[in-house]
Amino acid sequence: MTPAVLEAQIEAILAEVQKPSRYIGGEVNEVVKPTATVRVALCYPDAYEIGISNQALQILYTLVNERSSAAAERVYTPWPDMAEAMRRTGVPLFTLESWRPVRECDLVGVTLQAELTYSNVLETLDLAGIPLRAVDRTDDDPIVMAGGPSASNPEPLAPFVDVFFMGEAEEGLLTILDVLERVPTRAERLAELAALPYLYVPALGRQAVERAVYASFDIATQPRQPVVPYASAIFSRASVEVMRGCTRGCRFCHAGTWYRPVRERKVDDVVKAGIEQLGCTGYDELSLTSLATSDYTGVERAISEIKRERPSLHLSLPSNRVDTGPVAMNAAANARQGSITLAPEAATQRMRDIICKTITDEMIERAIEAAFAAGYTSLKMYFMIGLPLETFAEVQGIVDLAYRAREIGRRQYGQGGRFTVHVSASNFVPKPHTPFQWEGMSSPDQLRVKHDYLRRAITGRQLRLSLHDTGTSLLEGALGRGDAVTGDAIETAWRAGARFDAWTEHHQPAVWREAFAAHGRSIVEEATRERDALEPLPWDHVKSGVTKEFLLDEWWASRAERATGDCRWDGCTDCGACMGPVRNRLVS
Amino acid sequence: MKLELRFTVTGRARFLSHLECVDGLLAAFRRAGYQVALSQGMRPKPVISLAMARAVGVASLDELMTVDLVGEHDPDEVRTRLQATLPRGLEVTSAAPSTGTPRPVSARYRVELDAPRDVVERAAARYAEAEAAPVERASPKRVKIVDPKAFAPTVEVVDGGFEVEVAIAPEGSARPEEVARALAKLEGADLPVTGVTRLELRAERGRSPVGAPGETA
Repeated sequence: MTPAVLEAQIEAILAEVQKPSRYIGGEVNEVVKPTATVRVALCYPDAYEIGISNQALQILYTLVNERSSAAAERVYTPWPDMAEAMRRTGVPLFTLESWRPVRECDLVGVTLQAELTYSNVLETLDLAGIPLRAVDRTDDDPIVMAGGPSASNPEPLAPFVDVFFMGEAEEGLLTILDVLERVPTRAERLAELAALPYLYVPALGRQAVERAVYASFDIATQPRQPVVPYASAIFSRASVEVMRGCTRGCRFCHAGTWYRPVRERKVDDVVKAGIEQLGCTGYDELSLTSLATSDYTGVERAISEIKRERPSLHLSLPSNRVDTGPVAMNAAANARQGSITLAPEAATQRMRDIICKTITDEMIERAIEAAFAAGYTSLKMYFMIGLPLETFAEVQGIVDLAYRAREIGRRQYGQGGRFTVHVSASNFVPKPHTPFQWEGMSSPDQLRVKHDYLRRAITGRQLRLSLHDTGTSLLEGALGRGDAVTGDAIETAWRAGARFDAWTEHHQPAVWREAFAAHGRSIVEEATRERDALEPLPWDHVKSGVTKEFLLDEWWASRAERATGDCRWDGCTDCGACMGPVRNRLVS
Repeated sequence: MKLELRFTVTGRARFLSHLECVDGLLAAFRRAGYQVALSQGMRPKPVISLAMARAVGVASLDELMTVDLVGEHDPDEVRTRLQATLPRGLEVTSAAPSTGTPRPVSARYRVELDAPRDVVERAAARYAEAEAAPVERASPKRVKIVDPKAFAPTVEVVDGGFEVEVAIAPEGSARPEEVARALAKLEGADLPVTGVTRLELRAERGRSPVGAPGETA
């Protein structure tokens, strides 16, 4: 199919689908390189508005395009109406920049940010005309590579992926481009790639693979001119990653293990990059991102310097510690924001010790007081339910804290004051490479009882409650700790119509239930089963840098209801992450 | 200062929605170093408006925007600097000081059809002779009957389709594809629309119609 014919066909189907701007490209700062010799399709397996907001792909897009001989182009999973139109008219999946078929690229790089996108990975490959199973691909097909946090357990998607990238890709990706430029055939490319320590090629056996750590965390790899999405994107703001890694040690948190050790960027670099990005994007909001920005030791100086340059700028600091300091920082950073989010995760001291969330009741209360005193009129509090060793007292604790927050709000704004306390409770899902990787999830019945209680208890003026869907949480748990059989179930589910599982209007629980059953498995059993400490785990061959012994120690510490300190301030915990090329590196 | 700018939306950019266009223009002003003035009140909004919404998929060679920029600026420089930062497919064609809020009175469209010219000519002749040519307009809530003839009495056949001037009145207007459906219905032929381009937007302030910004007020 010639480019002109394909373009005409794409234009014809765009006239009949929802939100056609998802597929047109042409945004400000898009890079088009028609003469590149190596073409990489960077894929986020979800809708444009979700994928375009992902920082990791913006980093990789910039890095590939900085190389003169290479071009990175973007691709997202077409919405079901577009997918139907493409199949009906024979239009193959195309990249946004050139509107050329994805299958013509040398490499398709898929980021796995969440397990619920796995069906979309298969949907994307199929729409591209790429054989689903790696074993069926030929020299005419691109190398399919997957990375991102969910790749840390590669086994569920191993049948469909040629190469998994473990860890941070800023340096390794350039080595991969070298191989693609130099080596012509698929088999030779895979053989060379398999020799790199951070790449896993399932077709060549289940060899050990080490997570890559971007030791220098150089500001030069921070995108200076990110693509500016159209209005439909979920995040439309400039962002500078100020710090990578977190050593707080929350035992449920995958990122808290996967991105160790902590590396901070210099304040001057952060300020300069932020101001530059604002200039070339036209955003009126800047986000200083990290896993916990209030832990960044340069945060206060960064805020004051950015505000000095841009006094009216909307500056956001996501993922903050629950304490008065971060609340005050947020208030200083952003005069016009009416909403603040605190994430106690658990409402009782006992449970916070179990999950290693080292904050106290007093700190939470002071943070709530500080938030209302600073003028915030919407307080969002995030909790998890179904955590290990949870009793009814923990659920009641969430209710009590919600009412306590309302009481504090009423002191500030009056009995009928215009403010809201929004309680959000998600379901605990055990993740690989965490101290809770062996834990089972709560059963559907247990979760339903807890949800019902919270719904009945958290009602009334100024209180709001939102709960996560139990079915999708259990599926996430089953997929996240899955193995090769799980991969077969994913394919069965996709063939039966599973798509966009993170979207409630598209998620089909029965399809997934039947797909697991067809392979002798049960979603509930897979999600709720506690693993034995001695049981081999599907991701044992993936070396995150944090030792299994440390994770076991932490798991047992949780059983003893004992929190562990943060190695940045409380001394080394011997997790193993600093045995590699870099240790915690703070700016002050 | 208030400026009136005319711009085009062509190529893939025609698939941008009205809101996406406005957001894209606002970000372009910021990239170009201009501050768009904010409205008064509890929730200030940037003072920017497009004279007429454009349906998704319709290209336009004549969009009319009014914007209030903080400070005094040379309109030509605004046009040049804005143009340098726009997404692919948007192009500013003129800029001039605003002389009042424009009210659109008519728009001229080219409608491309996948049909032989002689069929389109016969349909156009029937359309011109007909007293009315009602067609259905469906929305998610209901279906209503509109008569494109009330707003576009004739069409001009051109290679590949037709051009039509559609009045924009307080009581409503007709969409160019509705005119095409009316033609098809009268002729009893299939006239698939393959593209629509807004060629010109005429607006007036008070009673006098104006073409380009800065002409008669």
